[in-house]
Amino acid sequence: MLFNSLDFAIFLPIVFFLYWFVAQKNLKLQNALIVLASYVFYGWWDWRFLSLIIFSTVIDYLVGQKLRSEEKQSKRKVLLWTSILVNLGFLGFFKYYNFFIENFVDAFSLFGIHINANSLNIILPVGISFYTFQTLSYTIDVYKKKLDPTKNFIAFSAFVCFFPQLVAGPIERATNLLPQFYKKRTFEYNKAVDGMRQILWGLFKKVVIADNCAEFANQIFNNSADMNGSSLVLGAIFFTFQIYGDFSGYSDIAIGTSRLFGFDLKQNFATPYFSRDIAEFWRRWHISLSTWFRDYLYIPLGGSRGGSWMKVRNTFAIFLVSGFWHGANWTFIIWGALNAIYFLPLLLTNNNRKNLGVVAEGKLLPTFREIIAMLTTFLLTVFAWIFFRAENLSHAFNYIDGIFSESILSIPLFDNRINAINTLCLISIFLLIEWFGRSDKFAIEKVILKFSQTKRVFIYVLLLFTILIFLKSKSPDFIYFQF
Amino acid sequence: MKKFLLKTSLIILIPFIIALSLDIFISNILKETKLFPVENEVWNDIYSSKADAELIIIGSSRAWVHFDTEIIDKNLSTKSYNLGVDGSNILQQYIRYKEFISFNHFPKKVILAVDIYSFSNEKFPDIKYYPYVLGNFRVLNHLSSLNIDEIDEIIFYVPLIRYFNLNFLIRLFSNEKRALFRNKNYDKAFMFLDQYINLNREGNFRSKGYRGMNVNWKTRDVKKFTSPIDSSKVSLMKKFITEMKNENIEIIMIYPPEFKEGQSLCQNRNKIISEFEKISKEFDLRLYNYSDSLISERKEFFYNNQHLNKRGAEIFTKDVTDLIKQNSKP
Repeated sequence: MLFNSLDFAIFLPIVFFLYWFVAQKNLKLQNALIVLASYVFYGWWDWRFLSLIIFSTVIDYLVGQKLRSEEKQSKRKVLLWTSILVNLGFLGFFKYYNFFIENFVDAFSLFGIHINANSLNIILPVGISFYTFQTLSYTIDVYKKKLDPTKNFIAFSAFVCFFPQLVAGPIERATNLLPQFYKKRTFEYNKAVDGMRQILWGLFKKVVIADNCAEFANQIFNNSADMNGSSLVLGAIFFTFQIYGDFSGYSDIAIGTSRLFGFDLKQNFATPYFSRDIAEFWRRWHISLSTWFRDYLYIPLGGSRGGSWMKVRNTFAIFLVSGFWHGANWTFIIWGALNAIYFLPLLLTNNNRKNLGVVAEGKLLPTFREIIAMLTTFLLTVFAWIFFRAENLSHAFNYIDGIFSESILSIPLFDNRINAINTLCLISIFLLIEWFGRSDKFAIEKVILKFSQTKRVFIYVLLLFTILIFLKSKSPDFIYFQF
Repeated sequence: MKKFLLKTSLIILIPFIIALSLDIFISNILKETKLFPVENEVWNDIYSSKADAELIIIGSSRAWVHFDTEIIDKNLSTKSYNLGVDGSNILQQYIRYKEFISFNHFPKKVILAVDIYSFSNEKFPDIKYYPYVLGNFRVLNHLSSLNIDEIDEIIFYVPLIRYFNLNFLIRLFSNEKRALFRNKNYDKAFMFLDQYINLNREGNFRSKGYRGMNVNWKTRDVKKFTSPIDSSKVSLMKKFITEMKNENIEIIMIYPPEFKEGQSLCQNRNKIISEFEKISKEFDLRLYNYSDSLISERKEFFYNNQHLNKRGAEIFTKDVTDLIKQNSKP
C-alpha cells in the first residue's frame, strides 16, 4: 500500500479509529491491532511474502528467548549466527542471488571457462532490507546484553512489522521502539497534530517535489544518449531532488503516522543538502541506516581507532556495504566507493567531525565560505547520484561523458521545458522553507507555529491544495521500496 | 481527541468543499459553452438521451467531420448520430459508446471509422471528458475492467485537480487565437474569443454529432512520423466489436479518405491498415478503405492531410451511403 494512494487514505482512518476507540483500553489489543493492520498493509502488495516476515519474527523471537537463558558464550554465538544467517540468507537469496550468479559466470568466462548457471526470475519482497536490519539489531543487542529479550510475542511482532516504517524505514532499533510497545499509549493532542503536520510535509515532498522531478529525471536519464550536456546536468539535479523528496518524504509520513498512534520514531533526514562537507552529509542523510552501519559494522571492525590503514579499510567497508545494501548492481557499489573517496580526506585529516551543528545557526544567511562549502558538497553528491540512478556502469560513464562536453554550455533540450522551469521554482520554494526549518526535525515543525492560527490553517489548506493538484493516479513508487 | 478530529476534519473539508464548489461551477460553464475541445454538445445529447439513433458513427475527428448525418438519414432512410470524438483512439471511442448505450437505445448499425490513431496511447480521460468525469463511477468501472495503463483514476474521485492541467488550458485556445495574443493583437483576439464562445453557445456547433468544416486547405509543415500500435488497443477494438456483435449490431468498418500526398507521412500506415484488415476478416466485417479513392486525390476536398472539408465530406458521405445501400443485406 502506498502512502500517497487512495487505499491508504481509507486504511489509515479505519486503523486510527479502531486503535483509539475500540482497542484503547487494552494494550494487548492495541498491539494485536497494529500487527493485523501491518499485515494487511504489507499483504496489500503481495500477501505471499508475509510468510517471510512471520518466519523472521518467529526465528528472532525464539533466538532472543534462548539467549536469555544461555550463558555459554559459544552457544550464544551459535544462536546469534543462526539469526544472522537466516535473515541475511533471505536477503541474499531474494536480493543478490542473480547478481552473484551473473557475475560469477562473467568472471569465469574471462578465463575462457563457460559455466551453465541460470539466473532466476525472483521477485524482491518490498522492504526486506529494512525489516531484516531491524530484526537483526534486536538479536545483536540482545546478544550484547544491551537489551533484555522480550517475552511478549505480540509486542515483538508489532516491532518487526510496524506498518508506518515497515517497507522503507526509518530502520528502528529495538532499544528505541520495542519498549514503546510495552507502555500504555494515551492520545496526545500535540503529538497527533505534530504528526499530521509531518505527514502533510512528507506528502508535499513526495507528490510535489519528487514526482515532478521524476518526470524530468526519467526523461533525461532514459534518453541520455540524445541529450546535450546542460540537459544532463539538469537531469542529475532533478534526480538529486527526486530521491531526497521521495525518501525523506516517505520518512516524514512514516514518522508522522507513528505519532498519530503514540509512537516516536527516529529522525531519518536533517536537511542533508545544506551540509558543508560529506561527513556532515552522511550524518544527515538516511540517519537510521548510517548509524546502523556505524554501530553494527564500523565500530565492531575497529572504527577510526586504529592506524591510517584501518581507517581506510573500515571507511571503504562501510560505504561499499552501504552501496551494496541499496541494490545488487555495480552502480550502487561505485556510488558507495565514490562517497568513501569523498569521505577519506576528511577522516585522515581529522576534519570529519568539524561541522556537527546546523549551518549558520541563529543567523538568517550563511557566510560566503559556508555557501561555497555547501555548494561543493552538493555538487559532489549530485555527481555520485548519477551512478545511483544509472542502469549500469556504461550508462553512468556515458552520462558523465555527455556532461563534460562542449554542449554543457548550450541551452537544455528536452520535452516540456516550461514545466521543468515550474519544477525548478517549486524546488527553490522548497529549499527556502527547508532553510528556515533547518534546525527542526522537519522543515515546518516550528516555523509554522510562528503564524497565527488562521494563517496556519490557510497554509495547511494551501499545502493540501498543492498536493492535490500534483497528485497523480500513477504516481511513481517510492524509490526506496526497491531496496 | 474531539478537538483533533474536529480540526483535522475542517482542514480536510474546507479545501474539499471549496474544490467541489469550484469544480461544479467550472464544469457547468464548460457544459454550456461549446468550446471546441470539450465537445459538450454531443455529451449533452448523450446524457439527455437525445442522441438516440438507429445508426451511429464511431471514430475520431475523421468521423465527425466526414460523416454528414443529414445525408446519411436521407440516403439510408434512417436516423443517425455521429459520436466521433476529436483526437481520439479506440479507448476514448469505446467509452463514449458505453456512455451512449447507458442513456440511449442500442443502435442497429454502427459505422466504425478507423484511422492511424485508433491504436495510439493517450492518457485517459483527456480534456474532452473533464466536465463529466467527477464521480462518474460507471466510466471508471468500464475502465477498470480493461486493464489499460494510461488511466488517470484520481480525477474521478478528487474534485478540481483536472482543471489545473496545463494542457487543458492550452488546448482550450487554439493556435490561431494564441497567435493573436502573442502578436499583441488584443482587440481582435478578445473579439474573436467573444464571438467564438457566443457563436458556439447560440449556434449549431455539431448537428447530430456532425460538423462540416467550411475551411480552405491549411498548409502545415508535417514531418514523417510513426503512430503507435498499442496491443492493448488492438485487443480493445476486438472486444468492442464482439460486444456490439453480441447485441446483433451490424458493423461496417470504414477507413475514410486521406489526402494522397500526405499518406506517406505516417511511416507505419500500411501496418496499421493491415491490422484493420485482419480484424475485419476475423469478425467478418465489411471494410471500405478510401485510401485509393478518387476523393483522396483531390486537394480541393481537404483542409489538411487527414480531414475533408464540408464539400468533400458531403461527396464522401453520399458515396459511402450508396456503397452501404448497394451492399446491405436484403
